Amino acid sequence: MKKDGIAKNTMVLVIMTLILGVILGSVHYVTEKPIAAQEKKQHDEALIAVMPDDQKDAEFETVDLAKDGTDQKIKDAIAAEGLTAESIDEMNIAKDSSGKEEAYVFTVTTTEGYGGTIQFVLGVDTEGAITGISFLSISETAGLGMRWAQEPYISRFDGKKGDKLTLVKTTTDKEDEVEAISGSTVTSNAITNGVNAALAAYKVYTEGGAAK
Amino acid sequence: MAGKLQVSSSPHIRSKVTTSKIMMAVVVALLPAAVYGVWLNGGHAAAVLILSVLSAVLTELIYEKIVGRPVTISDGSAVVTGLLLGMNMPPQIPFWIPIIGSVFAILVVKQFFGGLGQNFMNPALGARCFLMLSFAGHMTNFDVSGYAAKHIVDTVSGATPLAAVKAGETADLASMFFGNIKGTIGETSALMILIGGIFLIAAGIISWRIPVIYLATFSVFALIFGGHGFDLYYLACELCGGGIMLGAFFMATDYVTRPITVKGQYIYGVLLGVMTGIFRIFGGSAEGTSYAIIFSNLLVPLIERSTIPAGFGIVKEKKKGGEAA
Amino acid sequence: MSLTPNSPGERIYNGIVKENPTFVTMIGMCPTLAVTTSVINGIGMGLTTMVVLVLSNVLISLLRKIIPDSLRMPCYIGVIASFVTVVELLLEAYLPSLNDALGLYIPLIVVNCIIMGRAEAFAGKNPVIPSLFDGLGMGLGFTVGLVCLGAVRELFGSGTILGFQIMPKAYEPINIFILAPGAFFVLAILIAIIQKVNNTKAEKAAIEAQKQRRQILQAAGLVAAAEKA
Repeated sequence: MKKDGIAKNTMVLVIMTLILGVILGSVHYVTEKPIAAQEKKQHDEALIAVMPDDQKDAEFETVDLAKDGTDQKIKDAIAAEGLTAESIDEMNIAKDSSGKEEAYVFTVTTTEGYGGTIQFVLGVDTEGAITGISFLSISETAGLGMRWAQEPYISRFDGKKGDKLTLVKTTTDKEDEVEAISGSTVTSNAITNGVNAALAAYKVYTEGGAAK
Repeated sequence: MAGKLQVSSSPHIRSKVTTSKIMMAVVVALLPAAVYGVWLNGGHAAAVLILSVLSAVLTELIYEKIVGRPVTISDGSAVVTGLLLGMNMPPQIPFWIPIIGSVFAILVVKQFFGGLGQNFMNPALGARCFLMLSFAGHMTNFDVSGYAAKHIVDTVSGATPLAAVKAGETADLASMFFGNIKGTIGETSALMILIGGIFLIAAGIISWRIPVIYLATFSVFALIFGGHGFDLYYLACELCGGGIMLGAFFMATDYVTRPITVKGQYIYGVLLGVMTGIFRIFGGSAEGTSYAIIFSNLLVPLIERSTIPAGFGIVKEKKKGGEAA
Repeated sequence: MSLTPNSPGERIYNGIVKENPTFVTMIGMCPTLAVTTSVINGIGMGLTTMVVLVLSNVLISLLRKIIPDSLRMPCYIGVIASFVTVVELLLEAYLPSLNDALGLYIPLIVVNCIIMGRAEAFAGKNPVIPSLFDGLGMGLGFTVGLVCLGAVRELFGSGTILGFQIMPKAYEPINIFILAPGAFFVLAILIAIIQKVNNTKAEKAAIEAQKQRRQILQAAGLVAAAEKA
């Protein structure tokens, strides 16, 4: 017979939580390092994805944007372009094995996607040309806006260059024009605005930018 | 004994109207818009309409044979569903899409729930939304054939004039009214749809209530919230563009899925107008009619329940302590 | 097939066939509908749930004499939630791709009716070994359900199974199967098919039984009764 006294119940709960606590604590201890390693791996994989094929072995160094008020300068530059929904989360410098800087990789968030926030990584090489784009989080309409995350649309930004890219409706060779995906104007706009925000940040960093 | 009296149970007075006659009238009313759509877009569009109707009828025939129910294709409702679905397709759509749509409309939306009279949602619109979700790319591709490009006015940069109006451009009202614009096969010509709609009202097949209240509520909503103030030109463009005319006269008035009660129909019309307004103005795409109608269809049982008219001779109980006599 | 009640074999048969959570008792529908966009996701979710089921069934069964009746709920939830957290940490550390695919449906395993249901209905009242196999059986049954659903949805919605292109290249994937409405459609049709099969079996069994009753009565000479049977 199980007696229902308060004392007995409390004892049982204490014992239960002790047992469960021990189980949870030990699993957490064992998995802490592997989890941190996985997170770093996923972070770096997202950055590598935008590097050109011959630079896939680059190492990344995260830039401390708070230094010298660079992050405020970037915010001002983005606002000056009239972009209100875009922001730079992180900036990394890609260096090859000898330490030479090859590209600047920006993690961009834009909140004006059709299905909400889009977060992507954009690589810009030392001449200001885009090396590639890869999406961290995108939930647009399947078959329409989501196509940006697949070939051949995801390569539309490769090689584009300029202070600001404009969306056009037809195939174009111009360096500062990008062909939109018809039927997904909102998504195309959001992504292009994000890219332009990254380009503005690139300008801030390389011109006024951080002291080396 | 001469003059025997016949004994039978009610009904004793029968009207000449049958389901197939009503459906025939609806088909006739749809013809102006359908013929115009075919004239504008060419042979492919005609084939789309024919295939939709054929698939709808065949699906109903085959299903009813397989499950052993009486075959009801002669009542014409499958024909109407097929035709309406076909008219909701973009002109260059690959043939297999409307065929799949018709099968879905008749099989899933209509037959699985019990056949004519038991469907809880307009089958043509249910299928259209199914196709929108399944084949978004094809369903939003309003490119026209070479033949059609000669008549079509394409001065706007949006996929359709309605999309352009949403983006803030001005569209050409005259072409939106007469119909030589980009859009689905049956929805482009407001004029042709109006002709069909007025015919149906005059013939007593549908009542003016739902279309008029729907369009009126939508107009009020668009004027207040559309962002263009009291610009009547903008309002006229919104009314002539997209599927709202087709929806108001031919889909919202479907006997099975609209409320039976008169008060209910007023509520239904207002609900439709508000929802279409919300979807069109605040939603992501320029078109909102299909979803507005199917959502309202879902609410119809609730509307009917709350608007049951008082039975003849029944007096509502006065509340205690309320008004005297 | 007659198995000893509560034997390991019987528990497994029960979980996969007789009381299959997806098609028969229809519990745990939320992850079923949400996660079956592909076969591999279905397998992942099914096996993850199975692991949690087995662990929680075993612990609850071990503690069943200690947990007072009035404290059932908090104790069961505590156990289930802890094991789900354990599984989540392990997935994050060693199988991150599965973790990403299942996303927030992993923490939702805590409130999966199947686990709570089995804890209440079985593990709280039965010894450890049957409880273990009950968890295994139900988990496998759930996985079977998820795989069936996932296979149909992935085949029609992406043209692939387990990532291998099965449909011809010309096949255009029907997107709706990967979305929520598609899940409902496929589930409804699968359940309809299974019910039809079960009903036909039941009808045949009833006709057999009637035949046998008539034969027995006729053999005993009770012809009139035989006609009525």
